[in-house]
Amino acid sequence: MTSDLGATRGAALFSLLTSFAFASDDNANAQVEPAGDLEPNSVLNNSRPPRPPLADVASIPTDLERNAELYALAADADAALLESWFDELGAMPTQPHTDDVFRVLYVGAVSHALHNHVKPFVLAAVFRAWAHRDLSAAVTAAVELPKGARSAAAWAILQLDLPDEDRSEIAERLGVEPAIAEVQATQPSVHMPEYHAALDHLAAIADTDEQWNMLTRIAATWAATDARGALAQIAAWNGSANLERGLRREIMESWADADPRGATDWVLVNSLDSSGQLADLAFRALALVDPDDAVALVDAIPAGPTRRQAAGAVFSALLDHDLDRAVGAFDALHPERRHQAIAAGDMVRALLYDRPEQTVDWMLGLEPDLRGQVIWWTDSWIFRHDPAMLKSLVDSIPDESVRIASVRHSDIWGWETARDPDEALRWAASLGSEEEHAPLVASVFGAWSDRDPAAAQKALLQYKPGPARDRAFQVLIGASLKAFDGDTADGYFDAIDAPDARREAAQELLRYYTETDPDARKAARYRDTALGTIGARTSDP
Amino acid sequence: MLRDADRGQIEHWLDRVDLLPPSPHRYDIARVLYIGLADIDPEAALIHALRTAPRASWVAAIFRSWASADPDAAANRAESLEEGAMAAAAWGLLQGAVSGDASPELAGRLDRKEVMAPWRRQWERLMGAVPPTRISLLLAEIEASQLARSANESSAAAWSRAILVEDPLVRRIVMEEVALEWAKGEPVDAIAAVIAWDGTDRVATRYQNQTSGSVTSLEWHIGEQILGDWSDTDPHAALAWVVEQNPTDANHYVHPAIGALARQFPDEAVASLATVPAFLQKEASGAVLRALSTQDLDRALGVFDALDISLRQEHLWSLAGPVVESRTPSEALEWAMSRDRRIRPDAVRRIVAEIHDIRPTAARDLVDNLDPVLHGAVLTEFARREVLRAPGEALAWARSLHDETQRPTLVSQVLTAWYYKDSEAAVREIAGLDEASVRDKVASDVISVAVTRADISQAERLFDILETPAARQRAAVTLHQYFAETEPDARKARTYARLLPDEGEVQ
Repeated sequence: MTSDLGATRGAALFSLLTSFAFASDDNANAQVEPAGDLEPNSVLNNSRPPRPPLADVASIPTDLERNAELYALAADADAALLESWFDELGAMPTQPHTDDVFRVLYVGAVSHALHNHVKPFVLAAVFRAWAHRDLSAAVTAAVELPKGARSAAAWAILQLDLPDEDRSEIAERLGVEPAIAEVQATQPSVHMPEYHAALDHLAAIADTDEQWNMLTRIAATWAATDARGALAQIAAWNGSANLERGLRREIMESWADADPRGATDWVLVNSLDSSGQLADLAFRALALVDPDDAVALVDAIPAGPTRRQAAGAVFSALLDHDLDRAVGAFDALHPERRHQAIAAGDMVRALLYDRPEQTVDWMLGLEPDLRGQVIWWTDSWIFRHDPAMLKSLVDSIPDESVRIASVRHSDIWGWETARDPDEALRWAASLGSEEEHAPLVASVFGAWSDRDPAAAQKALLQYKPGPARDRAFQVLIGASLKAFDGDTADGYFDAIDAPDARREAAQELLRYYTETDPDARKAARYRDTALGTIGARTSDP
Repeated sequence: MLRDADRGQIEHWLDRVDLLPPSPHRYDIARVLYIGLADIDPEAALIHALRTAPRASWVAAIFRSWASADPDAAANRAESLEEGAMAAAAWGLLQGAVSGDASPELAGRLDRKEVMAPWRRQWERLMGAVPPTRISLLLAEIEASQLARSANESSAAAWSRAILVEDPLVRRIVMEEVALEWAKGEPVDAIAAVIAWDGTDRVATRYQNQTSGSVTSLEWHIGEQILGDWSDTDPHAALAWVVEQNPTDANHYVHPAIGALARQFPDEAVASLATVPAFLQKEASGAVLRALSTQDLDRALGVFDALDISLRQEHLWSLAGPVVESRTPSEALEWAMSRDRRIRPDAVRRIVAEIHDIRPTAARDLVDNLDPVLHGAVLTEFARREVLRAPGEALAWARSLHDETQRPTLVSQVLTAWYYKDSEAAVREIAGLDEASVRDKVASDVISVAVTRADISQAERLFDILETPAARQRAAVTLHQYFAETEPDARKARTYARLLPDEGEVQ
């Protein structure tokens, strides 16, 4: 596809569209000697033959020879020379291959731009000019560019006024979203004559996306004009509770962003029913501008949902923007032990991100049972940061039952098993009595079997008989049945010793052979054991 | 034309641009006019452009012009824009009027609003990485463009240089570009270099206009792109490379390789399933099925039927959609019903879910006519979907269930799901249930949900609905615990304490 612009207009357009780019580029590489080992063309440079005139090269009749000469000509030309050639070519009489000469010059310009590491805007300007001249060629060339350069070219090409279908196709070829060239129009404010009429209108909108869009616009308008009045009117409205809640939060968020003290004062003087679910927004905004004031105000609120919301929001804001103050304010903001675990978990994650070297010390300062709970909340983050840190924190808990509780349902067994299954097994088996660590050992074997069933099975058969081994076999039975491997599951059942464990396993197998994979013979085998009429294993596996 | 034009004249021309015959150049004409208007009155130019959905190049051009006359004013105004317009403004501001030294400071000002968005810090803490802001990405791309591979530099040397770039975002962009260009000619060397890199950088991607997204290692982010491009051009070589890798990397990269092979050489892809290592079977078979199902569904279903039963269960989800798209609802259900009995309930559940997305009434008819075993298998999931679509209809359907033993449970599931969607409406419906036993069961179930969500006023409204002593007692336990421990209220705790069972008597 070739442009319908004449050659003259194409050249002029190239100059106009690229002149800003090359002339004002801070890099200025476009106007200095090319980088690398290419030397500028110069009549003073007696080691190189003089360049042939463009007109001579452009008039070579055969495509192959002409293009070869053109590429050679353009190879070491600088931007000024390229620009002059565009002017010259534009002034020449149009020939059948004029468009092809333009194409080669554009390729040269792009090559020059890439070689000189010009900024994306410069490359975009080149492609904008090229796309005006020959959209198809420009897109084809852009497809071959390195990723970053391709994005810059795409940005320029997609600025053209194209049919939607063409735009989508070009965007897909270039690996970008069509919308990169667009900007959303500014949403106008909403002026509704009367509050309840506006709310009724909002409630009547059927499409949920459209309703939410209108809600945010109404909220933004009311927050800017009369937030207090709007909140009061919403409280008096007898409409959808969900819409009320959404509107109140949107209004409060906008209001608090503009006037955090005003918003916070409103929360403090209004009843819980009016202010409920809004304290977090007001106090977060206040904490961002005056954290000392925010912490002090929280302290003045009586215990209850409002204080907890406010404290949580202030703490969250401090974690985001002032970690030192968050550490200092932790106890003041969370005086009640039952609310400390989640907040402590947030603190650990923030420390791991910003001050990992302080994480262990801070956690060791927590009471052991709280520490155990926090480990339970944050094990994946700690493990990702430093597996050894997680293990040492678990081992730091003196009370064995608390230590075990912190890792009972943790994914740590899968992670540790992936690293070293034997070591994971040793650690699991070191925690508490065999009854206590049986589930942990079972978790290790379950994870091991997922990765290497043969090795896990071998290790399990060698493991000392007892509750841990029985429990592990139960886990493996479940995994085998999930994969519809009844034969392997049957084998594991035969290895279980304790009557209670055999009964539980038999119940699972009976269910499987009755409901999932009906097999009357096998179901009969497990029925009595499942019902408790038969107990211990009667033979070796 | 612009030289002697005033503001009014230019605005008049701008208003007439849309009346010009459609051509690729029309938007660029507007851009040049906006430059002219911005020279006279940049604020007027901006307001005019933002009246409709402007091209990013117009906004960029306005701010480039503005910045050349008054960079502070231009930056101040850019800060007040919405994200999309601000990004376009930044493109203009960072181009040339502002010197290189001032770019980071300017970028910081423009970034402030996006950086302060609460979701960003949550992402950082929870996912360990956060997507770059638009402005920081633009700045990094500018810096990265200066660090691209030079003509006389080998790819390996460029890679060695790239991994040492100090700024993480610039480093990521340069590494990605160098590796992808390297892989065009030498994919094995390029991917080997990426895998050998011992960095821990992570890449966060946010799904458009949502707070959800994904985080992956930079190694995999680049590796996946290399494998994707390589597989498209030479799927045989790509797959041969994959099967030689360790299980973790092989499982990660097999999908693009065997998927491309399946698209281009389906026979060979199917045959390769018999020879890929066992640890790759799951991912490889899934990729082949997904590729085949878009080209030749019958063939894909044949491959599916030949897989081991555990793999068939894994991959049901990827075929349910194509089956439903290509058949009538009853034909699709027939396919599910003819699967191996071990995976039949799952197959029926997935097919019904897919049908429900496009033809909910048809799905309901099919569910109503299932045999009791399969009916029980799909009921809960189906009820949840119906509530999301039309809770009133879902409730009417649940109340009409023939199976009297299942009806109360189903009604309760529907109303509990409805409660999450619209608590007010759900509570009203619960209060309107005729049968006292069903009403009590549902109210009790929903009280637990309400207390968990701290909807205490709703929980207490539901408590007032309860009639049977047993139901009131169970609910009293929940509410007493709440008012005794969670949100202490001595008076309310005493109220509910009076209804508590004696120890061991909870029914």
